[in-house]
Amino acid sequence: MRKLLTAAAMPLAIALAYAPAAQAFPDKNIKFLIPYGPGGGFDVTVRKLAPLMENILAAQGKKIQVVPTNMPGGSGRKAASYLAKARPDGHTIMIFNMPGHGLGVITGKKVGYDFEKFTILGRVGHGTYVVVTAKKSGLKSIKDIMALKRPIKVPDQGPGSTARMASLIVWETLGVKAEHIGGYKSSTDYATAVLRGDGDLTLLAAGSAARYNARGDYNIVAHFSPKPRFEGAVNGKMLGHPDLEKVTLDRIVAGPPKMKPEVTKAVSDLLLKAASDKSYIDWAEKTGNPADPLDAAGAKKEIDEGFKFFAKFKDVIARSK
Amino acid sequence: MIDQQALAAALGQLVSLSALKFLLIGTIIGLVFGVIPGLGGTTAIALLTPITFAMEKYDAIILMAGIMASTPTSGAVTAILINTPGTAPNAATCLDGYPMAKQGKAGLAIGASSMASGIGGLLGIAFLIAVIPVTREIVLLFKPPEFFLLAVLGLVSVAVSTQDRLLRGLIVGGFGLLVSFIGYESVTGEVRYDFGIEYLWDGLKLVPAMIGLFAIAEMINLWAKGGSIVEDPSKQRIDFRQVLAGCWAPFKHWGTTLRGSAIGTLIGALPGVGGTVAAFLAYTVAIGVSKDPQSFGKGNIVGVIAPESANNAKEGGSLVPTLAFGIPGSAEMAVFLGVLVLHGLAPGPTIVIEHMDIIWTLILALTVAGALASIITLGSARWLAKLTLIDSRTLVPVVIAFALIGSYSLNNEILDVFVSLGFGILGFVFMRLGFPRLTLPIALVLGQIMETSYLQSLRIGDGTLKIFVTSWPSRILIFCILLSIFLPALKYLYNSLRSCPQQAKG
Repeated sequence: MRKLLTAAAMPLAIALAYAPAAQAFPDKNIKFLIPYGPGGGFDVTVRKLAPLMENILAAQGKKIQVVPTNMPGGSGRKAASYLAKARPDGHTIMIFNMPGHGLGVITGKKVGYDFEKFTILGRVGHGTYVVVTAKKSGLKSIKDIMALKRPIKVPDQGPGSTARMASLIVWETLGVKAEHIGGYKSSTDYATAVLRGDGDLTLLAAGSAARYNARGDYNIVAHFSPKPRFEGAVNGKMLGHPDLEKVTLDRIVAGPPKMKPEVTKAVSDLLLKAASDKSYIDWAEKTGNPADPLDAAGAKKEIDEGFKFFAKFKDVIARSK
Repeated sequence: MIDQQALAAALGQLVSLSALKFLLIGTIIGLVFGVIPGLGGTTAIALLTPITFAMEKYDAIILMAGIMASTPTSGAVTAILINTPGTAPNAATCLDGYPMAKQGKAGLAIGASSMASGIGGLLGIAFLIAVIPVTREIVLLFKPPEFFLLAVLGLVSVAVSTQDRLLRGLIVGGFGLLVSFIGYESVTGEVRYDFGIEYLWDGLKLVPAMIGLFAIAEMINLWAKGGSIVEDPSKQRIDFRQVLAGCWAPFKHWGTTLRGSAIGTLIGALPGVGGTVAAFLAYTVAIGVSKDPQSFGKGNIVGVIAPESANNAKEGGSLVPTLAFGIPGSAEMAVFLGVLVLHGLAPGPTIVIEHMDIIWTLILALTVAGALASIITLGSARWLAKLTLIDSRTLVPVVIAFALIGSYSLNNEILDVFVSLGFGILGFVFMRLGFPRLTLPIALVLGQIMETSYLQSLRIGDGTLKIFVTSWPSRILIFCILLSIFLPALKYLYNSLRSCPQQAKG
């Protein structure tokens, strides 16, 4: 009889244990995963957003903490693998580096997670690329680069990084043979590498480039944006390749696969409101990485279009070492 | 040229009551984090970052400077007392610090390390101020080939520091190099030796490995031996006079202090190399110039002064690449730059142009906090040294618990704890077989630098090895490597030749 009662009580106990999951989002602290170590651009973006999200929730009478959690490893793959297995209740979300995190989708390589299965929640940062050369190199334009009678050397973070993908696409499109030198820790590192002559040029986020060039050490020869911000810099259209304007770098927030639509909407609204806060917009602009926030649907559309474009360069990206 | 307006503004910031309060808080937090193996300045800054939101940016910078300046000072305390470096750069201090503790001279060693740290920190800052106008040139001088050669020099110096157990040191170092190749190779993007385990993608991490190799192994050994760390407790003299004598030692051995500080600042100025290499290089040079090299590793106070002056001096040096290009010179500096970004300050060359007052605030805060950390450590040395008298049955469980908590809290990763335990057993085996453990962590650090910079160099130089000898810094480094290898042999030869005629006379 005792065994029978225990057996009967089991489903009830399980149902009670899982009851909080069915409650409205959020009912506990939100874990905001950062796939890199503390101190970088992604880390500070989340740390800036977290208190804004908490304030919005507090105004709704919910005392919820948004906890930035660094989970560095495998060039961001470790955190993504963790997110893929997290509960889809909106309490675990992650900031993604796009298109870097989409390497698996673009090349079909195994990366430990399927990006397309994640629930896209919004965009909190959007940047464009520039091509920089060292002033002392004498390479003053894309024409000069194309006229070089040898492959160009491009220092960067390494295969799978967003900048490497962008660089591969740009030079493949322009028909310039490029040899990449990976292993630099950050954009500051490879920007300096160009200056000391490790390579000929590199691709940098437009916002950072303006900062690095405060002393006028670099030539900014191209800016892949419909409206180039730098004097003398050409864009894709001017080079006869308007598609190059699609080479961007985005900060996307996503949750685990199979999030319920109402939870997705709640998290997406929360994110959009936080990323649209004036203090965040101003801060992002000041640090050189514009916020340009989008909701879940807008971000998903941008990502899908990006994947379609990157797929054209699948082989080049997959081959790169 | 020094921007006097910015300097005056920074001084104004630092002398306020609130700034001094945050400086003291930061220093104390840094000392606590430095003492606990596994936790260090990087963890402390990352943990405290959220609370700086509500603070004025200057207060936040001062708080962080307090942490950065004090962790290496207190990290030496555990290195001396329980043969466990509080932070990675304190590893070299174990070599002579712990033998001193075992001889009942813990107070003397702590006195010497704290004073050497304080002086090193000050000299590092002085060097920084002197080179502010040429920071960019210094950073641009070192390319991947020079980084590769520097890593080789570091490895050679470690091998030399193993003294009479050179072969065993090389075996452990070789094992460390093999381990350092596990995981993601950043130039080609390949993942090696991961056996399909996600945890191994980033390789075996240094800090959990070090916690195991030193703290756990030492505690297993102490447990097996029984008693206390001090071999003969009746010899232990824990009085302030001993600490004061230790304080005087860096002045008495001023050449070692100056050399250590110079090496520390120079290595600190090279991004990515870090205090661990600086401390080992300073230690090796100290052996190289010593008239009594055989006394090292057996409790020579010079073996404490050299690495401690170097690892604190590197704090000033690590600001060089930050000032020049916004490149963090150390892991702490990387997280600190993140704090600046949160406060709306974009690191990079512009910071020197637009916010020199902030740089000066940081420099001054580092200077004061370094001195403060030394004073606090010296003041508490007498009581800290009593740790060496505690019976192993009490000490071992407490240290192991702290070590494992430290290992876990670094990344909230349970597998790090297993790595610590595994390396603990390995460390104990090494101890029993007489293999020097210190070459392993240094090979772990340098293996990655060596591999990355070697592959980068080959790509830059179109696959030719000529790239390693083309610049003058490369040539100097090659000369230093050869000198490190052959100097002990030459010295031995010289001494043999000198003693021959005397023997003949006798």
